[in-house]
Amino acid sequence: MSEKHSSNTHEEHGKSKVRYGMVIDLDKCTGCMACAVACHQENNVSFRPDETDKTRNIAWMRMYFLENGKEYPEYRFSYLPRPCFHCDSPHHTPCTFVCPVNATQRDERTGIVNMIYPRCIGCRYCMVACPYHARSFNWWDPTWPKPLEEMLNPEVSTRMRGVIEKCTFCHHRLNKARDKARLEGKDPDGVEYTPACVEACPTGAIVFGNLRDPESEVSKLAKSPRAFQISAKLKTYPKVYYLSKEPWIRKLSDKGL
Amino acid sequence: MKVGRRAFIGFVAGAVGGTLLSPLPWKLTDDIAIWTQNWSWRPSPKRGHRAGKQTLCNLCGGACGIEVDFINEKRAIYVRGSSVNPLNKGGLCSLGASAVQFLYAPYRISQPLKQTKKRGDISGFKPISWQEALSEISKRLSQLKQEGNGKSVACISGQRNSSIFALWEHFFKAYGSKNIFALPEETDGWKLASMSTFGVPEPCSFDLSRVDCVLNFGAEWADNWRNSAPMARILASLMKEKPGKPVVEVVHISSRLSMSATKAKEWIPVKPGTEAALALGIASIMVKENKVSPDVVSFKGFKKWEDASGKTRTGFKELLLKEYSPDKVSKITGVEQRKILELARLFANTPRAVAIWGSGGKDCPNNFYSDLAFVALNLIKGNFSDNGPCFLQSDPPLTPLPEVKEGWSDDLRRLDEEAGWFFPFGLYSNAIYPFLDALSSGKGYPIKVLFIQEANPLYVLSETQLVRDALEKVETIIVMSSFMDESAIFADIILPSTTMLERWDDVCNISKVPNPIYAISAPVMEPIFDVKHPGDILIQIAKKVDEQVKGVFPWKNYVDFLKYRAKGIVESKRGAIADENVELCSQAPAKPNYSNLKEFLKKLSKGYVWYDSPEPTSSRIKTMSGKPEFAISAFERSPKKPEKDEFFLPAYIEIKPAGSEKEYPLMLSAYSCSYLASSYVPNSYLMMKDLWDFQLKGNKGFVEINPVTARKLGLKESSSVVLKTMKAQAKVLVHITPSVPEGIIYVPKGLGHKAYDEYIKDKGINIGDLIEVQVDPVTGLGIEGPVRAQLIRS
Repeated sequence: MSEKHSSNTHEEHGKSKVRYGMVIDLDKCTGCMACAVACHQENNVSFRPDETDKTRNIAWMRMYFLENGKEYPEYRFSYLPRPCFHCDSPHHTPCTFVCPVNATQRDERTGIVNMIYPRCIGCRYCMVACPYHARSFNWWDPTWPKPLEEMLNPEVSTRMRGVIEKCTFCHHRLNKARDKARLEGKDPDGVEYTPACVEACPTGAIVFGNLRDPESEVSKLAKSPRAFQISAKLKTYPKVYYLSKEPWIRKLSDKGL
Repeated sequence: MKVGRRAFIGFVAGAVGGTLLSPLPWKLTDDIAIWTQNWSWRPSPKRGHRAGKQTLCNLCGGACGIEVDFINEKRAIYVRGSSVNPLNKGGLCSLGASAVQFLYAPYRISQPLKQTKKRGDISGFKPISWQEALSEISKRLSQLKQEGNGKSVACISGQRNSSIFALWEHFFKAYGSKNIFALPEETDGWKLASMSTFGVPEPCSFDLSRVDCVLNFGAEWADNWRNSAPMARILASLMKEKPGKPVVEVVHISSRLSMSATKAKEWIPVKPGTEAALALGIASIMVKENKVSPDVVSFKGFKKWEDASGKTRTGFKELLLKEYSPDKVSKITGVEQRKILELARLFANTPRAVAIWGSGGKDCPNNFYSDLAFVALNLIKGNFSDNGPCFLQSDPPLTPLPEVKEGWSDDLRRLDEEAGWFFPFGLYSNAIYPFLDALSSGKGYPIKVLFIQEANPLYVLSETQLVRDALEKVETIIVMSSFMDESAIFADIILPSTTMLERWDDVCNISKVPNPIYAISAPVMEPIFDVKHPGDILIQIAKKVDEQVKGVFPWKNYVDFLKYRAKGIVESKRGAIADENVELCSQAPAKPNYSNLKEFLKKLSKGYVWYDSPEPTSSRIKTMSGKPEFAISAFERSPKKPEKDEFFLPAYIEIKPAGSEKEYPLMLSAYSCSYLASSYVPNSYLMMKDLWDFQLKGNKGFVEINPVTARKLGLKESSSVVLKTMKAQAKVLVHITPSVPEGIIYVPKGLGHKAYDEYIKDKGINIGDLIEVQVDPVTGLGIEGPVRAQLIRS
């Protein structure tokens, strides 16, 4: 095992041929936030009259604001959309490692870090452990003013006060795709599916697929000279890669979020 | 029976042991865990089969293909982009992704309402039946028409690029009023620039699929250059490295570092509002270095020319060389001479280079002369020649509306004309601000009935106080809106309308796309309330006004009307229905792939669009000389004409804002963001969720200032200040950012609503309250230039 550790991160979990991952091209991202709206719509993410306290609100796909630190007119900025990175570090991700009740685990067949809401006891250890602030806590009961409850998606359960939630790579869509593959007599492992954010992006900045498939677009892009991960030094091995041609953006990647 | 101590202990121990061995305690613990998390108020959406229905999204006036997901074909839960549409090719904008939030919005109006108290009092609305509402309106309209007072009826529509605007125009023509307006758009000015240069009011459009260099003068394609999703897709694809091809040089020219500017290969900061001067400076160098397209020399006004009165006037060439030399332009714009030369040579020497322009992300008309300047730069480059990247956007061949024999008389004048406003291009202009000015000041004639169709002018237009004053003067305001917005609250009668997912609409042409486009947004569900399509309402009213109006309204309902319109395309046998493989913009001729109207409509109602190959500009030109003209010929026929020669040509005109510099030392300007909606449809719940906490904090909005400005005023991040202009003042917080130049305050559009619900109402400030609109003396369009302002520490 120790020998394997030093090689490609995505070959750790030897058994599975599937590691779903994402590449987000910051050069193409125009910050329109369609990805976030689509994600929150698909996943029944609740909202409140005041969403401006970003330490308390819930966002599965959150935007970060990057600046090059210079003055006008040398100043430049960029948005960085951040889903859950579904870290691929061996044995455990930072969040799954600390969960005392096994409410969050990584599915070793797909690499997706899931959340089992009814198990969660709301201790928020995982929230503290996640270096990417990918986890949000339900401080209040989720409510939808009438008749907005009509738009809720039955494929994703609504969460309750006192539990943690986060991006699931639209795991319910994967399950559907797997069911379909089974019915068609195909191999359900490694099926292709599209999360809501990827679908919404008007410039095609988000690419999703199997990182272990050398032919997939996502695995090719992840090897691009423009590709980088956020805080790679933490050895969390995020399965979300970013692309940028701007040296100042790539430099910021080590500063965390 | 006597129970002894031993027996009792034995029984208890047995009971405990027995219970523990049974699954009961575990079941109970489990149940308690579930019960603590299953409060009745936690919604549990009803399960069912999920399937999508294809249609088209026109929330911003665009035509993006969408697929709406339903549960059991009843509840709409999600919207995704549809890849069959060549405009968005699968992507969406945040507004389109929010479509179902507008469908089920709590602030939707569910039935016709009548104001019984004072205007503007939301508690005074009482439900009335559709029959009552419509008969009251049509009685009033027929009474006014009988009195010969048809002109006192007016309309502000929010749907310019749809057949419903044509239907309104048709109705007004038959009824006898010219007071029909739409919400202002950037392309309002473009149409008039084309009218002057090419003799047709067809806005410029660009084939960006085959360009090697783009000089972008404030076209904020990544922020809000209508229509967002297709524009973002087209421009972002230019930035992509393609194997074996050089990267397209995209140079952005603006004063504020917008998202579009930061995405460009190079950003040239200029002093605010001087983009046109730089365009003319580039043209000047091209003229001097003899790099102009050869045919330009013969265009009227390029050399010395004679006007209708026989007076010889300065030509554009001379004007460029004299007034727009690099040193002069450098002084105006603040761009180094070396850089101007470099840009000019890049533009002149790149075979396919195009200049695109916008209003700096405000989506409002530009000053007439600056639109002309950008058109002129493209003319000099030869971009309007038959193989060039610039086109005039011609209309799809829809069936013309029935001829109106009676109706408009020769002496019928629009309210602004009657009130003494005169504009050389007034006839073709959407002069909504002069109209409102005349109305509020009581000049001209009174307006008795005003229709507001899905426009919300009380929020969308700038100078909110002027709009409010104008509306106060109207006898009856009839609002057709899906939502209880600012204008609906101010209505006397509200006729609730269907939302996009519940109705038929069409889209004629997409701004900036050269191909004629026709698309249909078909309903994917039945209306969830007792609401009607504004087109159906209008047809019903028209039939009741009198026999003459009824005579030119042969349609049963709005769908019937749309079929009538679309028939024209089918009969013309032009164009084709595009699929995902079609690259719009390409000049490959489109071969008809439809045979009859039924098939045509069926295909279009599934999110496909009809397109035709763009027509070469040479075939569209209708000027007297038969060629494009630099000289503004309209002035020759106009009773009011400027004296100076340079006002007959494309020029840079400095617009001086009102107010004293001493009292208002700073300038204030608005900008748009792609994630904020500033038109008829408000921000959705999930759009509000994603807002930056430096744009909104609690209910407080922010102003953006440069660190140098902040230091001078002694302000820190999130300092509380009062923003004051000559129009109004507002309490705001300060956001310090180097993206804005020194001395200018920037405020985003799309916040500060005074209607809807607690999720949107009173959040931030509406920049429209603070801004003053200047009416362009040539076109009559309202220009939202920067205004004088000051920040006072509080």
